[in-house]
Amino acid sequence: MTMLTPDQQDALQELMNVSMGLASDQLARFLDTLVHLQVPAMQVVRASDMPAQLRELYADKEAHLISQGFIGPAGMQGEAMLLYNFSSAKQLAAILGYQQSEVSDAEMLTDISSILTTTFLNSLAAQLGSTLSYSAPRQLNCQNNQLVERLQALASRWNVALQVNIQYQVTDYAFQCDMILLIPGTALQTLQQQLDDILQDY
Amino acid sequence: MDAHWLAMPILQQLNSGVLVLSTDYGISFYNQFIERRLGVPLAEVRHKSVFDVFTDLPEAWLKRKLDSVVALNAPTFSSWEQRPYVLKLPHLRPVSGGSDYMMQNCSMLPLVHPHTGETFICLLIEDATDVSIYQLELQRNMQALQQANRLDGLTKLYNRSYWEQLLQSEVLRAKRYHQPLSLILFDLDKFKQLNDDYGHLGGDFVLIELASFIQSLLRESDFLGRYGGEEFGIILPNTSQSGANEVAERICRQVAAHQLLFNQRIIRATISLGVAELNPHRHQEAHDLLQCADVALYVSKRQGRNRSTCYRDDLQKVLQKVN
Amino acid sequence: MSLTALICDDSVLARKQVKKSLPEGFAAEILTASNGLEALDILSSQEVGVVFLDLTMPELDGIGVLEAIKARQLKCVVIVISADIQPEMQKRVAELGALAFIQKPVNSDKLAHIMHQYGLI
Repeated sequence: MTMLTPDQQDALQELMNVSMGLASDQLARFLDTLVHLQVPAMQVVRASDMPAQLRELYADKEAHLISQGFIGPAGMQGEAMLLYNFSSAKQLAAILGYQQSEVSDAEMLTDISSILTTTFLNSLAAQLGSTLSYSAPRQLNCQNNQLVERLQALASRWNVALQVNIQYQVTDYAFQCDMILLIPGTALQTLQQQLDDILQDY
Repeated sequence: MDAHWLAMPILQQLNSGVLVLSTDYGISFYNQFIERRLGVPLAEVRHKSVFDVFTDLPEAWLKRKLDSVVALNAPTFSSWEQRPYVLKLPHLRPVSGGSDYMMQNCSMLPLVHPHTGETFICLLIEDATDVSIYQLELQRNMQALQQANRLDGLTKLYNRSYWEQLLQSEVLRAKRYHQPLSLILFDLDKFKQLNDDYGHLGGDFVLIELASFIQSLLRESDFLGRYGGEEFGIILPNTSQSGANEVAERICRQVAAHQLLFNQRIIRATISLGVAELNPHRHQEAHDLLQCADVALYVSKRQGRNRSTCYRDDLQKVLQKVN
Repeated sequence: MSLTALICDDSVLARKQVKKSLPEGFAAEILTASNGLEALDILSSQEVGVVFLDLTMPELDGIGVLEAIKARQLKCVVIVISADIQPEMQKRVAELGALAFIQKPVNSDKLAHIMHQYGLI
């Protein structure tokens, strides 16, 4: 199913690459360490198809799911989810310079996720000539293979899923996570309009 | 209508706290919500460091958060579930739910002055005390429900399914850490006779009384459960067979000596016990250990009741002889 | 100035953005390539003065292009325009002979400043 024209798809992928570049630059400065983020693959799918696709990716793995709402002008709104499959959030937190006694695991994970989500989406929104506000991030319990159930519940509220695989590298430690932006059909239309405007400009 | 004049009165009367800090943590503004709860007029503390005005702030944690807001020009959040409150303020709830302070959700947002371009950090404080109280009540109810699910209705001991779960995990633990683990199974002697003599109420009374009496003879770490009608089990972590045998012998003697008064009649009950220790090589599962204790219990019954038997490999032969 | 410029990026949008950001009348001809192999084809068949090169591309990436330009001793100057701005990458690109490194998103001010700095305009 194609929801974006090839030109729109190309433009969005390019804007996302640039946003990740800007986000990793900001993160690197803030953390005073080498952070490298890349978006090798981005796809737009029907929200209802998303859980099954991710089920494969996260089968037999301990998954961490953090969700954060966002809202902008012209009906641009949705839910940004970050999905990790690494079992040790502590390791990442240590690399990022968090003192373990200082915060709980849940707080570390929501904090890191919120930073990643908001810096990335802020950069993306800025390139689209817009701004976004965010709700507080929350960690969703997905133990005991509840992941797909969780994703289905979330997906049922929205029409479209922008699935973004992120390659994340902090100093010598590399891992991947998936960012899924769930948006309503009206927000997709807004996004398409913004992309068309940009394409028209050049 | 010119809506400009609305901002200040609404800001002051907002039912949320608004605190604005400079990038070096100086207080630039707080609204009435905070002013009244803190009890300090804004004019007295303006430009003072927030860490000097609000005592007990988690300084390293908050600085990290505030710095990230400025460096990344992005919001950050704190939830009462992870950190009950950021600013130590009283709450106005009649029922405290265990805390004297307001539970808070806090959003920290970057603000840029439209004329000077200077960056500020706005802390939006939402009172989450009510939510936290409901959540706490819900948790308590869930716990009570879970507890009820684990208990036997009559004796209030662990029921069979939960006791078996405990046995399963104790077996795994003992194997993992190479620690001894023993099991006692026991049966109330001539329970049918008791029921005939004293009625079912009398039988139930004996079960209830013995359950609490035997519980009182055990260590905190032992798990007593009702296994079946008049059959019970005790899991003894970190205990060898000889240690478990001593416990079994003592319980057997004390139960026999214990007098139960039911409807002005004295009931004397006895029990038969079987003891077995986990053999990590031969016992694959909890069930194998249960079977050994059951054989030992059966021998106690066959040999005349009111006694305790330890499992040995040759018990099967003893059984055949008795038969 | 009868200079030929080559813009090499896998994204249509990125190619358009660079093209639009170039100073007016800067080049006589502006060619485009959507991956490294296409770029090398063009470079071997005609003379190109300046290459605006993306790093992350399919087929052959920007590093591969820089290596080939160095190996074949082609005379063009290369300005890297990339979203990937980690210092290690910048260093590698400089070692391979790139003139300058510009962070995406590109705009005419940034581009003009760099080109002025290196005497290209």
